[in-house]
Amino acid sequence: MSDPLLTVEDLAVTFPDPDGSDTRAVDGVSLSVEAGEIHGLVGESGSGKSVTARTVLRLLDDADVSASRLAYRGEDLLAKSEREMRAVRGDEIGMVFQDALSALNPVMTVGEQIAEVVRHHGDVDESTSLLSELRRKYVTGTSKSTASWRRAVELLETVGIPDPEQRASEYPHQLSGGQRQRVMIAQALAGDPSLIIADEPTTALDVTVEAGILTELRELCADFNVAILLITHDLGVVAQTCDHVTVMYSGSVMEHGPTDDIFEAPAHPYTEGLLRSIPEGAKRGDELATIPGSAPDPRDRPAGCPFRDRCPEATEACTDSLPEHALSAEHHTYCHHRPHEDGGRDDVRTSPQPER
Amino acid sequence: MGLERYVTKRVLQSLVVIYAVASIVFVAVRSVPGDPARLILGGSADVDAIRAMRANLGLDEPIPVQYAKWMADLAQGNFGQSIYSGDPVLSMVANAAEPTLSIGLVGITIAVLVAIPAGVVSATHYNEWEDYAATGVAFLGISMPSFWIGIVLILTVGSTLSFLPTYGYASLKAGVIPWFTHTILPALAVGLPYAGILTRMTRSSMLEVLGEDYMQTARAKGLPARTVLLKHGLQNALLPVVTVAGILLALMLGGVVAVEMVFGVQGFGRLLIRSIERQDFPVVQGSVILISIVFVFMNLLVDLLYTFVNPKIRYGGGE
Ligand SMILES: Nc1ncnc2c1ncn2[C@@H]1O[C@H](COP(=O)(O)OP(=O)(O)OP(=O)(O)O)[C@@H](O)[C@H]1O
Ligand SMILES: [Mg+2]
Repeated sequence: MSDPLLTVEDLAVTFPDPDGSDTRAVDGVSLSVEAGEIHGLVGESGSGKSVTARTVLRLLDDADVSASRLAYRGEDLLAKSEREMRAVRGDEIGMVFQDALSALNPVMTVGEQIAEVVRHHGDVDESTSLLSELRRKYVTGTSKSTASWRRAVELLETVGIPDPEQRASEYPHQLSGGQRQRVMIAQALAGDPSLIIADEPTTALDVTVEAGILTELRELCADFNVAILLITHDLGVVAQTCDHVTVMYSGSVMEHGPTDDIFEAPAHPYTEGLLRSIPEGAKRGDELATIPGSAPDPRDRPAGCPFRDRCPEATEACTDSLPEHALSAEHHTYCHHRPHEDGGRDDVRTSPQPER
Repeated sequence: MGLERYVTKRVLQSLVVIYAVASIVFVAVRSVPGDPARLILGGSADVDAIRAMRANLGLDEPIPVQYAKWMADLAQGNFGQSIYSGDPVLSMVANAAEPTLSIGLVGITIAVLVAIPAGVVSATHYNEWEDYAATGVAFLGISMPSFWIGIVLILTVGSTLSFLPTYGYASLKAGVIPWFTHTILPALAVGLPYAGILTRMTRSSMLEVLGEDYMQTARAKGLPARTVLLKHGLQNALLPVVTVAGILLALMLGGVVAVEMVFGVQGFGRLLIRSIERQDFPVVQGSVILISIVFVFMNLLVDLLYTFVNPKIRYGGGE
């Protein structure tokens, strides 16, 4: 098997705090994204999903990052200089952020925000020097006859924005929430990346708009052969969209595997809890359950399994560091009590490979 | 569209403000104790001469009539003549305004040219020596009044760089170079405190912008750091600065008046103070109204500049 597109192994991210305890936001996360797949990264708020995503693009300057491997197409991202990272950002890996209203620049037309990515990473012959960028921004405006602008309009059309020609000259506040998120997606696609990291792309939207955006993402993934690392706290979204899923809790991975396997046979008490808390996951007649308690403070996380204080099955053993159990080649869990000793769930499943 | 309505509204507002200022000036000048006619003719003048002078000046009419005449004259651009010299107020003010506006505008230009880069560097080097240096100098600038900076400049720069005159003013008509050498020192004196305030504002505004999501987005798109900073950040950082700069303009013109004295410039401040002393009330009235017209006009300009840099106002909608 060839290298996965993105490999993260044993990633730890700490925010140093000079006069307090450091925040260990990510504490040994591993995941891998295959070319062309949609990989879900789920976990409740504060579990370190966004930090993981930003670390992949090396956007966090104030964090200490360590990993036994952080590689894109086999290339070590941690070894790259800032200049080399610029050739990865936007070009190989596009990023879609949660709140498009704040993530888009309020004083730039959406067309220019897309066009500049085309200029920097695409196949157009337009100067990207600081001076010509500033001239475009403050003096001449973006010329509508350039290849990059035409490409931006095309991309707006691709992501399903009506009247793209007109829209391209508008500012973010003139668009609807759903359209803004589509602009973010167009912007992420503009450099023709192989991977898009989408950090809760639909959380700020209402349900009908959300469904449209998710469909869009799925189709783009197929049409452009881009892989997507889809960050969400909504297992319903994962069920609809993802091929594989990695479940995070308080900085660590609890379980990962093919989406179908995880939904049919969750192997970690935390995943089970999460599944019971969504309508699709709860068995008919069950009340929608929430997991009692709250996640530990990342500045002061106890050793061993971070979920043990809330886990119905916790024992003494849970204070030891997390073990890894393979339930199948692809489905792994990190729990001291799984697979069950009674053998109820430890039969190794042979799961079908995802199609893409 | 929203923009036209906005501009119309602002222009009308400005006219109302100017009208109000004119009325206040009218009242204020007439509530100053003392009789201009007596002042002109001297203490020993006889009653008839004074009465004649009062009639001549229009001071014998009822106040409402004086007010109506005054407004009618103003509306036609007629600001009257000096009681003393008989020169038209408009040309007196125009002559005195040239040095004042030169010093003010050069001062603002220096302030903006210094403050924006200093503020940006300060923010991008937060808590490094560049930041300390910039905020330190800015603090000095803010804490020294303009006239004091003027005196210091005369004593230091003026005595070492002999080609920079420390006294008087040369009109632009006499050539750009003499104009500039006469203007630069007073302009620095006026501009430095202003630069200090603007530097601190640009710095804090830029610091805020650096933490904004769209800056991270720009970086995540693989843009070079400087492009992110200057293309994506600068305009956003200047939005609040532009608003405050407009208010500061007014304060700065106050500083010019004091600096003129220090540098012996026959500017607007001189004219105003001398006219007040002599109770040359047509000149006082005219100057105050003309200066307020300049103020209102500059504020209007700043507001329009703001709509230009902020598309949310230019294109309506938004939050
Ligand atoms: N710049 C930072 N400095 C210090 N701590 C940080 C920083 N960024 C994130 N953290 C901490 O890291 C932890 C993980 O945050 P992260 O944003 O990755 O969570 P998340 O899983 O994305 O949650 P959400 O669903 O709310 O977006 C949190 O405890 C957060 O407070
Ligand atoms: Mg997040």
